[in-house]
Amino acid sequence: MTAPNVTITDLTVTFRRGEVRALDDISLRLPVGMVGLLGPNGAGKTTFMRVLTGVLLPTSGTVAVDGTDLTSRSQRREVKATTGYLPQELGLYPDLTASQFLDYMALLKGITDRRARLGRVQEVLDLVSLGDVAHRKLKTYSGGMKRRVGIAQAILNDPRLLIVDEPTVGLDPEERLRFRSLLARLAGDRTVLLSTHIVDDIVQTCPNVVVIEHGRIAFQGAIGDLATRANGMVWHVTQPATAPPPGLPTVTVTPGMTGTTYRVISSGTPTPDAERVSATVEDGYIALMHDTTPERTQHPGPSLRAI
Amino acid sequence: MTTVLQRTAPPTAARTWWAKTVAAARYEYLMQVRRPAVWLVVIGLIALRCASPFPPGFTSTTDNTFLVADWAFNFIMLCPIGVGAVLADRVRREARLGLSDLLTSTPTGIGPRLWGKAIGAGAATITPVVVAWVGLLGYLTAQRGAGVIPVGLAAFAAIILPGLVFVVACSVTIPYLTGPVLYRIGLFGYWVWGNMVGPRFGIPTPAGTPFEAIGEYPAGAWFHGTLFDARQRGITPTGGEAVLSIAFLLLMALAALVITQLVLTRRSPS
Repeated sequence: MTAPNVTITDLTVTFRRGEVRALDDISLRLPVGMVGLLGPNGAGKTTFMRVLTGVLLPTSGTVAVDGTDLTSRSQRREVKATTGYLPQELGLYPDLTASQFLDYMALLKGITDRRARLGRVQEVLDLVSLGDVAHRKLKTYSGGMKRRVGIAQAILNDPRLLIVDEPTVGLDPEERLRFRSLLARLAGDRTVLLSTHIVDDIVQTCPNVVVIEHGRIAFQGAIGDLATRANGMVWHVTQPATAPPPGLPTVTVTPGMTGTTYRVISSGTPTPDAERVSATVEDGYIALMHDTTPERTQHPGPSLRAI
Repeated sequence: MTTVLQRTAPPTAARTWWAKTVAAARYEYLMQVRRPAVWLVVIGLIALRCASPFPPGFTSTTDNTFLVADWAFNFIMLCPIGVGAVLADRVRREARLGLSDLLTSTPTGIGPRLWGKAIGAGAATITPVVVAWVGLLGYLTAQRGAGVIPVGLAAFAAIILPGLVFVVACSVTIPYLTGPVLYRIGLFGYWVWGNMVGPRFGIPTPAGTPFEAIGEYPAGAWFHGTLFDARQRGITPTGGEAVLSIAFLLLMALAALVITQLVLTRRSPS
């Protein structure tokens, strides 16, 4: 199995008869391995992922996976057969057990040979550490266990393109670490597109990142390049606890003995006693979102090419 | 999470439409048959009707064919309303559970899922009717001997089943348009008007014609069952009319499913 060549060209999705442009003329090529997808609420991330999984048809533009056009009805099923999807709103049949649900999903994904299917279901259940509780009804599962069932169904067909939308929402810290470690191991020679609000999840797992804002690509490139966008613009400003916060994009707020320390983004020195600190990916993301960087051009990374 | 996914051979027979339909039917059956509401509503309506069997006195007949036909009539009179009511909410269940995107992302189109739901959930909802009918046949066999069994099975197939199939097909398709609540109200209204309000009330109705759904024509033509609305129309059903009545119900069921599949396929990106 080789990683797919996923090429998105001039992708536009509109709703309400064109009044709302959820995605606006997006073009990019996804590299192999983990790719992070960042963006504020309503930026168009979920719409983007729904198009990539064939759930939503674009208004215009094309999505090609190894040259097979996902926007064509006749070719779409071919692409779907090699794609795995974990949606943000993950629903499950509460009255089925995990193994029954996965068996059903495997059949819908075209694994009709019974022996192959049963083996595969057991394999993915073991992979997500649910083998011991495979015969419990899904309505008795915790949120974290349900997310694991979600990832298990997504990899049933050994997908070359795996798309996961907010997979760590609602998970406790330990579960979150397990989950992103699993995703990183799954990446291997496939493409995993990981959408999340949690910048740290992307920093820890994704060499490349795409940032969407207002339906457009605000940034695409290596994760390190996103951090460098805030170089020289990150400051620690300490103020008395009673003073109002500085009117600048703020990354963190840390209460202390001498006052409250704000980590802010500013192209100039915000206060005379402000202390300049080195930039992180989160700083770069906040700077990008507040348009603090001098220019908004795309920065292609070594394996992420703008078209 | 200590193991790494072992790659398997590519999925086999990836586009086997029938295998996917059977799979959908199997799991729809499992999920529906476990619902207590299915058993309570359907058995409850059968019990309600059969508590005082109609017409009075038919249970004392010595003719097994006639006896079984009138029992079948008592079964079919109310229970299809319950069958339709507990099936109607299965239609949009995937959307309600948040499963729509997940299912649409699979390479299986809407067809196997729709037919699987109709066959599986439909069979599950009819299961209480079958269980009650088998129980009745057991009781009648104990009273009158094994001769009741073949005629009982034939009566189920000819009188009860076609109407239930028709209601099942309507109940997994029409709620896409109307939603379950409006559909249930409509089904109740249709069932009373179309099968029980005979010509004596002076309003146009299919009751007493081959296009009703309570099996009066097969019962009358093949089992010498009691006639109600057909008699008011002055009709004694023939075998051909009984076949027409069954064929009409089955064709309507088929049409409802095929049209719904076409419409949903056009709408769906699957």
